[in-house]
Amino acid sequence: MSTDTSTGAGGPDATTPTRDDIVRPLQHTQKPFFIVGAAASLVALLWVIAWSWQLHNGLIVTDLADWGSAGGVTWGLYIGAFIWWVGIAHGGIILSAAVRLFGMKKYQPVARIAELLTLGALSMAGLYIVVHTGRPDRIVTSVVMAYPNTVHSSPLVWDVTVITLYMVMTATYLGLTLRYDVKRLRTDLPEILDPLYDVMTLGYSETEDRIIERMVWWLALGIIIMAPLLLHGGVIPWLFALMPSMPGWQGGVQGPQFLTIALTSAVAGIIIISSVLRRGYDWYHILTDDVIRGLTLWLGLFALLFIWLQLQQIITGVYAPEVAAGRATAAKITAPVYWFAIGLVVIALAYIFAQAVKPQVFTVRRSIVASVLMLAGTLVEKIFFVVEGLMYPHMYMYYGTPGTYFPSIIEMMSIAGTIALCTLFFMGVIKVVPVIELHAIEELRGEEHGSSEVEER
Amino acid sequence: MTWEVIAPGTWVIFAVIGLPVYTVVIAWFLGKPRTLKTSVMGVAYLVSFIASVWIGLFLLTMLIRFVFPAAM
Repeated sequence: MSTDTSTGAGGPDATTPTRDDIVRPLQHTQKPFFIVGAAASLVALLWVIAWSWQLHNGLIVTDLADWGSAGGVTWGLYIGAFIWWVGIAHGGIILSAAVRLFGMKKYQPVARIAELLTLGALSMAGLYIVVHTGRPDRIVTSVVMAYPNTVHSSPLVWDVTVITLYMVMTATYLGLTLRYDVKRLRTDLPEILDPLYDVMTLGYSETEDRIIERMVWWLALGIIIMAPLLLHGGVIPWLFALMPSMPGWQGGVQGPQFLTIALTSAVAGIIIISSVLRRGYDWYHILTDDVIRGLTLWLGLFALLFIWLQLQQIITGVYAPEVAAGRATAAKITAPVYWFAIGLVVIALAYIFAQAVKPQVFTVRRSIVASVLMLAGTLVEKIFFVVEGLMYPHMYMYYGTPGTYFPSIIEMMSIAGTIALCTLFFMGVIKVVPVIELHAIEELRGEEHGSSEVEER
Repeated sequence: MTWEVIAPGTWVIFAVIGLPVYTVVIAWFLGKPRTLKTSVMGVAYLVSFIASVWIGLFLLTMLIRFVFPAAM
């Protein structure tokens, strides 16, 4: 392993980021890593056992089978959590793309963490599609075989198409930008993974750096248009907003509403992961308080827009609505769970507003708590949105269906299980590639991109 | 109705949602600086990731079918 701590002239001091900082997770593993890994594995395993019970007995164990045996709710926590995970996936790559397109250099150190959050969260969203189906073995064959016909009219198929494109564009973005880092940090990376690094840098030459930089810029542009406007502000809300039979779901406002929720939960996720990583790997001089505070302010802005769009829906639903929409809105605003979700967001907003007015109120720990509240609030709101829409349709086609919906233990375990799986994904990735871009270190050191030398093992 | 002339998914997917993807790929091949090798490599990344997503999903679902035949 190289012991060189400098990437350029001048020599580092204690607060100057170095390449050693970003390869530290790949070289050292401490006890807390194993403890967190064991805990996450246990939680994930417990959920897999619970899911196995569902696979063995069918969706009936969740009351979501057929027409539902819970007041007609056939899409419950699973679909709410699916939307939540897609939302979290959102901000990641958008933040990274914004760094590249709009020169938001301050956030460059969190860009790759954000990209990885996109991949991890999207994988969990995809897993929820598998989990919520009664016959998961038919998913691929039915989607692929019927695609030429269904793509023209099915929002579900549009959804699958755009999620695939989004995931693939994100992975390509990550794959192309990693070539630069892997080639230059090669001697500091684990030798055991050399075959993987060989594949990742296949055909690399230094002359490609400028070309890749341009290609990635265009990719960032494509992603920043597709992700917010066409995925979470597009095909995901259209799964609901295009349904005339469900007044709680229908309407163009769902596009911006979904997008604001997505951005809120995504920034919250980035704040939590960045804060944990900076503590775990002593990255206080890279992921600075200033970066976390900036992210906290963005969190506040997106949460405020989320609340504002809730207001839009409530006022149009209570002033002079048509009958079914009025009934759906009345059910919504009299449900304690709805106000619980909104309350969590408002409490977090109160802190963000306070620290914006009085900077000494800000602490990273408080921002983490605010982020957890935001994530909890957005998850509850999304599940409630899905369930309430099904419980208050235009026509009571499920009228004879008994019961009311409450998530089963198996469904609730899926939340913990997927969070654990996403944690394990991150823990695995930080042992394979640097999660802070070498470009970010060069930028913080005031060096030009490409100033680090290529290394060969 | 427009719906009867051209279904919404046809233009939503192939004209609107496809647009960012077409733009990216065209820019890769026509912008400067460029080399054909690097542009092709970018497309290879896209195609191989699409394949790995769907093949991976297919294998997972087939594993589920194999392990839980009673539920099928």
